[in-house]
Amino acid sequence: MERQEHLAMASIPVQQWGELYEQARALSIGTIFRDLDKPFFASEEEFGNIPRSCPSQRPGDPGQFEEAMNAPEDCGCGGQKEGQSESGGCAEQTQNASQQQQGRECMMLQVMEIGFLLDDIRLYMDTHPQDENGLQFLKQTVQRRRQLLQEFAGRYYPLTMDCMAQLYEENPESKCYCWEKGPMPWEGACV
Amino acid sequence: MWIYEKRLQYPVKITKTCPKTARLIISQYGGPDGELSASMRYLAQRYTMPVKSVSGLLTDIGTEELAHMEIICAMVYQLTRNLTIEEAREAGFDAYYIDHTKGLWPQAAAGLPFSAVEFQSKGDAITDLTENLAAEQKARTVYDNLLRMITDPEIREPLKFLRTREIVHFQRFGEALEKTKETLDAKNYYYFNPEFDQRAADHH
Repeated sequence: MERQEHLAMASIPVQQWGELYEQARALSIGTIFRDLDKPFFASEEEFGNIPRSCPSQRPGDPGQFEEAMNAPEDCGCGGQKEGQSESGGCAEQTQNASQQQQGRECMMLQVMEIGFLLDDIRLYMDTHPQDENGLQFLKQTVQRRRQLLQEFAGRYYPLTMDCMAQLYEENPESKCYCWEKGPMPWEGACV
Repeated sequence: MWIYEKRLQYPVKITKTCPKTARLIISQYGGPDGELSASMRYLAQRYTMPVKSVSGLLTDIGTEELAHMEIICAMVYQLTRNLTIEEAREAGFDAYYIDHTKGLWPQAAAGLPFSAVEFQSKGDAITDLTENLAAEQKARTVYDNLLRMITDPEIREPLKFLRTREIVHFQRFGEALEKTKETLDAKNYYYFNPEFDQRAADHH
C-alpha cells in the first residue's frame, strides 16, 4: 500500500501479514500477530508463572483436543439425569476440582483460545478487508469455533442462545436453560 | 444489537483476597482511561464516521472493550468476594465498602466516579481517531503502572493480556486513520470536516 507522510498529520504504517502465534500462545500474550507483540520490561521480570495445564495442549496440534478430553460430564442438559449437584458457591477449591471440572475448564480454555483468534483477526480484517491470508484464516477459525461451541453445549452447558436452540433441536426434552447451568463467567477459580 | 456469550475473553482465576489491589484495578473499570470509557467512546463515535469500515472497526473494538470491562470487573469481584470488615479497614477499602458493600461500581483508583466528561466524541473523523490513538496509549500506561506495582502472577497475567490489546488497538486506529485520509485531499486534510461539511465534501 502506498502511503505518503504529510506535515501536520499523524501517520501509522499499515501492518503486513506475518508470522502468527499458535492459539494458546496468542491468548496468553494478547495477539496472534508476532509483529504486534511488544512486551513491557516489568512484565518480563517474572514473578512466577501460572501453569496453564491442559492435557490436550500440544503445540502445533490445535485441533486435536477431543481425544484428550477425558470423562465428559453429564450436565443434566440432556434431560436424562436430574438432581446432580451444581457447584454454585465458592466452597470448593481448585485443588479439589473434580476431573469433570478439569475437563470442562480445559475445554473452556479452548473456547477462549479460538474465540480470541477471531477477536484479533476480526480487527485485522476491519482494516485489511481484501487480505487473502486473513480471510482464509477467518473462514477456518469461524468453522472451528462453531463446532467447539456446539460440543461444549452438548457436554457441559450452552454459552450462547444459538447453542441452546441447537440443544432443543437435538433433544426437545432438554431442560437446559442457559443461566442455570455452569458457573457464571466471573466466578473463576472457585467453581 | 448485541449478543452475550457466557464466558470471559481471558480467564481470571484469583484465589487470594486483596482489597488493596482491587482499589487500584477498579480504575480500569471506571477510571478516566478505563475500559468502560473506551467502549462508550468508540460506540458513540461510530454514528457520524464518514468511512463505513471505520464505523465497523469502532463497533468491533467498542464491543471488545465491553469484554475487557468484564475481565476487570471479574478481577475486582474475585479480589473482594471473601472480604472481611478487618481487611476492608486495613486496606483502605472501607470507604468503598460503606457505599457499595462488595458491589461493583465504576470509579477511578482515587475514588472519583465514572464520568462521560473524561472521554470524547467530537464529530470530526481526524480528531476522534487521533483521540483514540492517545486513549489506547493512556490505557497502556495505566497497565504499565499496574504491572510495576503488582507481583501476583494470577493478577498480572490478565493485565498483560489487556496491555497488549491496547497496542493492537492503537495499530488498528492508526490504520483507520490512514483509510480516512485516503478519502481526503492530502494537500490539506483540514479543508472541511467530513462528518459535517457534506456539501464541501461532495464538491471536492
